[in-house]
Amino acid sequence: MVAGAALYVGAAWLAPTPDSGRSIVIDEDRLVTALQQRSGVTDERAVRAGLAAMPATELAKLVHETAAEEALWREGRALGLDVVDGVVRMRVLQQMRLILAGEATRGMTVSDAEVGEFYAANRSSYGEPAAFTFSHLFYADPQGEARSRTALARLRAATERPDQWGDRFLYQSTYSSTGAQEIAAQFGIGFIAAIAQLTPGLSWQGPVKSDHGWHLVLLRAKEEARVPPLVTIEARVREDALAAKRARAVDASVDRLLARYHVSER
Amino acid sequence: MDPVKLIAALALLPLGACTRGHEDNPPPISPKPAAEVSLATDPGDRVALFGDLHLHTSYSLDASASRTETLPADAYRYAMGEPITYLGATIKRRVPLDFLAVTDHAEYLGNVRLATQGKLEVPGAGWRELLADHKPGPAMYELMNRATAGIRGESTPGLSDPALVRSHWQDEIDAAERYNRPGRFTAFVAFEYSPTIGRDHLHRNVIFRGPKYPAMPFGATDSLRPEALWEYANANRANGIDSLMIPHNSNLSNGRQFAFNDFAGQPMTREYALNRLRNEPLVEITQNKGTSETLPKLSPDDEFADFELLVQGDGDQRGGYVRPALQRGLEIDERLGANPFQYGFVGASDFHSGASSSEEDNFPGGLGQGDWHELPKTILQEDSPILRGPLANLSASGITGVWADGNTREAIFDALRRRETYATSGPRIRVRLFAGWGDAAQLASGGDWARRAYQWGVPMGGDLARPPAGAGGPSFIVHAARDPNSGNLDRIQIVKLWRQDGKSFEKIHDVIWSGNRARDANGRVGPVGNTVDVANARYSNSIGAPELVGTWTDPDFDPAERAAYYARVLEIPTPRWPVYLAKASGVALSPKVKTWLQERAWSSPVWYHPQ
Repeated sequence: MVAGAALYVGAAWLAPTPDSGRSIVIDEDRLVTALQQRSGVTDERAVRAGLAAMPATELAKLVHETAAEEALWREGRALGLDVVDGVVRMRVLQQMRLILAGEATRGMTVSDAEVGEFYAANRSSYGEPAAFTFSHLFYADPQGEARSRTALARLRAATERPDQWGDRFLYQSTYSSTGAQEIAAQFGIGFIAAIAQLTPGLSWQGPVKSDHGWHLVLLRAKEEARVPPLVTIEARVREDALAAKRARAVDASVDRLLARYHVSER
Repeated sequence: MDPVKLIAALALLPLGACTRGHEDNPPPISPKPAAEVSLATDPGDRVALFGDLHLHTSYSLDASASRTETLPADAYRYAMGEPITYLGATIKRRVPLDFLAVTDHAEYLGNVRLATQGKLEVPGAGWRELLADHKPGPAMYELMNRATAGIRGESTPGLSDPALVRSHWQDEIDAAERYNRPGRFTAFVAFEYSPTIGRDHLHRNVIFRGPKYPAMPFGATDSLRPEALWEYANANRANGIDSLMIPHNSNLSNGRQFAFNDFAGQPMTREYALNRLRNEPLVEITQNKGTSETLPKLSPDDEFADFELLVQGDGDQRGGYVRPALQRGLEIDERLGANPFQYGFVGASDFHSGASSSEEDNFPGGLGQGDWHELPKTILQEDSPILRGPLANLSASGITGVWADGNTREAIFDALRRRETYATSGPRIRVRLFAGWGDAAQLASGGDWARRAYQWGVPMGGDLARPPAGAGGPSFIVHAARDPNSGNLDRIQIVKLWRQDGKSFEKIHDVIWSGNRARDANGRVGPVGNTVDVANARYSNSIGAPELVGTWTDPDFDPAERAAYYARVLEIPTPRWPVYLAKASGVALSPKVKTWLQERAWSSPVWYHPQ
């Protein structure tokens, strides 16, 4: 409790840790454990295979992060944050980061230019998936395909609103800006692949096969996967840019802390 | 994803993904370009949208006391399908939600969070140590106890600061405005009013239609009387600020939520009943802390009544459960000509994690360090001091389905207002119910069946029209489609509640079911079977059906008596969330914990009133 109270006192934690030494060794077992903790995957063989397949740059990053964790852990233990039992390790690491964050990021802001740069560098994370707006008529098997072709011929010949609607479909008859993943879940992969090939317009197309039967499709709009312009999402980007800047400042603090240790790989 | 790819992908995640939000500098709200959203012009083209109308973040006093750190922005991001950090782990919803209301407790809004960060001094012995203790354990529960003084109507120096509450309320509004995307995702501005008298919960969520909002939320520290909340809402409505209120956790109200009298114990008047109805068109029937439909002891003929019950309570519990409340509403309507409990149904999570995560196989816990999944033994085996049973008895429930003209605040709010809603215990089951007079059989087929059904009768939440001369009982058409990511369907039932000779009755009718099961001598349909493999946390859709549709006519109808009807849709048995946690952690599950459930949906009722 006393050590806990020191959390808010400021730089008390900066005192080096006398009993844990200044050497951190990261071996393969250590990396496997780190990956297991992070992924929740308990299959050790799969984790070792994943580790072996990891590109060198990612491996270096993993070693660095695992060492940083160890350093935070030792500093946190020196504060007495681990007094309940070993399982609070993750919590101790988090708490140390919050302490570092409080000191490193107080009063931090981002400029418009920084927001613009962040958007340019992280465009893909603002991407919206492809989406489709369509109505459909459903024809269940047996004879779903034949009935749908007959209906299509009638629809194309008619100048008035169609007076027949196919069969009852278990989900919806219209979809508005619905993401590809949800359409795939409801209709099956083959259907989404097929309608992605159609050209939007005001005429009925098909028939297209789904997991349920056959469909005539009136594809009104197809929104390609896209990144919205900055002006429409600026508030979110600004929030993220600030968060990223804070994270960099915290990482720099962690690196300064880690620099007081000798890290070796074996 | 196979484990190797999963690990490669996870290696790219930042180690301690930063907390989001605007700790010091709220970014300005960008003016949004007017969005063009296509809305249904025929009710038959309404879409089912799924969301959560009850979720807490670290702005809630109890969530922060249990060391949840997520912000309202994190809650919206998670609901939209983005990954967020929760208690040091990265979590992501498998299927995004269509809408979300963050409903942080109005009491001490955001201030316990400030105090735990050392940014707000709380005078008094012990506070400093408790706030600084970041470990799960007795100190956390003591902090929780102190921090929740607000829901008991008590003020606490420092934590009660109204200027800070006002600024945090603005944070909530700003976050919802930032994440609201008409046509794609709806973010409602909302709060929870949380009066707790003794241990009795009389809580309500307050959901705003927008775009105008009041300057302050309304908490138990303003008044412990729910009537005072309706006065707040009525005054706001007179100023063009519309809202609706949703009572919840009636199972924890000790029978007080749906009492015959007002909260001062005086008999209801007609004006009182109408005021309540105007403000509270919906009730939450299922959530993390239990399902409030009914109890086995209240519904002995309902073999599916024992579902995700957190408590069973002593004494008369009829005022704490929704099914008897609907009966009480009919009874009060007889006397007053107004029904204060004409409730449509919603399901919600009430998680205190900032993550609306109602997927059984992807549930990270909902109570901060109170049910931290890093401590599986505590969850799966030990009795919680608060629950008097394992935390694994909590539910990964639920969500709300609405039939709306489109995904905008206005369209969804209007669907909530007309009660065209239903609750599910988590899966995105699609449910439709229509009620009318005469033969409904021809409505069960054809691609335009829903359009014709709207022309024929009323949808869930509605009032049946006057019966035509010579009519028998009302007819119903019910339709359900399974969640593509969850279990097949077992059956659709209609629950009928009615009055007769001054007494209330209930009866459950199996309307349509999967497979070739025959009714037994009592007219009931036997169990669908069970494929749950507990050791491997698996089930199979080899039983049940992906779609059920049927019609039913009430054979025992008395046009002189009031009645209400709702549909209940049952899935086949699937594993409960602790089964997945037990498998992942290797920690065995206490025998006190149920291993499987039949997830379900409850349609809002349709009511019949004699003319």
